[in-house]
Amino acid sequence: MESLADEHLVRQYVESGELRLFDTLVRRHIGKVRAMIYPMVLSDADADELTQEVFCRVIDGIHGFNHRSAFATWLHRITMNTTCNFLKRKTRNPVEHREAPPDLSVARHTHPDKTVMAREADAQLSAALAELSPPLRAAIVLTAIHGMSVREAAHAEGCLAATLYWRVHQARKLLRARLSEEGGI
Amino acid sequence: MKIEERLKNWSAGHEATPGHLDGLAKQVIVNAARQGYLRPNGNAPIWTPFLSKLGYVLTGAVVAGVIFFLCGRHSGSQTSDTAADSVARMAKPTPDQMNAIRRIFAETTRLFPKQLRWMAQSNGDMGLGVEDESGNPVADTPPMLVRMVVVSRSDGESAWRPLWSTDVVLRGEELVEISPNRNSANKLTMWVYPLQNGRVAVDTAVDLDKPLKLASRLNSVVKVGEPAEVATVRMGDTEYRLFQTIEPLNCIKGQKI
Repeated sequence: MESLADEHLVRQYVESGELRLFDTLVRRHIGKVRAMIYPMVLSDADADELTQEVFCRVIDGIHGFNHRSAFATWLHRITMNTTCNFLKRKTRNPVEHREAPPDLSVARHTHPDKTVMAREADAQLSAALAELSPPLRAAIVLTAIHGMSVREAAHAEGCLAATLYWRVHQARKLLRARLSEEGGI
Repeated sequence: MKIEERLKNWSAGHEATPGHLDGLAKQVIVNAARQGYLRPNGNAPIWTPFLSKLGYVLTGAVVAGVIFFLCGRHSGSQTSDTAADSVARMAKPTPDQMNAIRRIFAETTRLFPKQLRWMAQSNGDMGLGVEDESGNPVADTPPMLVRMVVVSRSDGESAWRPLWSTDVVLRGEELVEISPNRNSANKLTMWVYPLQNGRVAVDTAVDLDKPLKLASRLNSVVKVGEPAEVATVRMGDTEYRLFQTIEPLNCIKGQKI
């Protein structure tokens, strides 16, 4: 089962309903999904909650998955839609990066061997990302962190490649300016 | 350092650990179960037809209650006994319901081997008790279904109305303490121990907050498959009865659950 391609797993799950098949899909993609969400929301608790919401949406819509795109592409689209909807809901309370997050659960999620300097650099980058608008943040997260091509990222974001390209350019420019102000680059 | 490289390093530092992802994946499955997405045969969610079938059973029982009432008008005190019998039948799971519950429990057990402590369905809420991998393994004793049903009837009404029902699947000798309903402080404590000759030693404590305040405890030996009236309460002009039925979840096609 582990060696089966996503699309085979999806077909078999839809036909047989065996939850083990869905479980395999979840375990295969949950790390990537959470890693896509975290830089957008900059909160471990929100990232965990949204990750679960994404898979709820997947299981809800999997019977309508038409196999015209790869399962991963479809999943990434759902991930970004869910995250953007969440950020829209939070418009009145935009994402705020805390310099020293009081949430002790951070220690559970992240590597504990960070030095003070590394933590500062980490906080600078988090703060810089938090200042970007969600579309710009999504563009730089998908391309720079997750290595997607502009076309793939545009598909995940549901926009034109040209728009995505412009967003990446803008995001990079703003990040560079912000980090150089603080001596980070 | 290039901005892309910094972002990648930053992201790597915020990756969830494998243990955390494992917990998240399990929570996804639990949530899917809670929202009724466990589909052992892929055609339809189990719990939805289960509930609608239960609805039919209850409606049927209410209709039967009316018929019994109409027929029993000439037979004096026999009326209430017959109505009570029909209510007791509501507390007994049908073979179709038992098959559905067996399949769902077997499948969930395969997902969480040695970790699934209990499974509950109550008034539309579903919950799974999954033990942490580092915790004590779950007993390998035969699973049993405990159904609890509260029905009510106001003075002057002939039919009993179902008010609350809960199915809990647990293994013999496992003490289970659960809050089966998300929007209330209802609590259940259960322990069952299968005996010879189709009897089960049972210890259940019910502490309901909604839809009515009711506390009851049963510590007894009961016969499997026979609904037992655990409590009768009168509040104002309404009478409430709590029934409990225990059924073993036998093997599916010789496969041990």
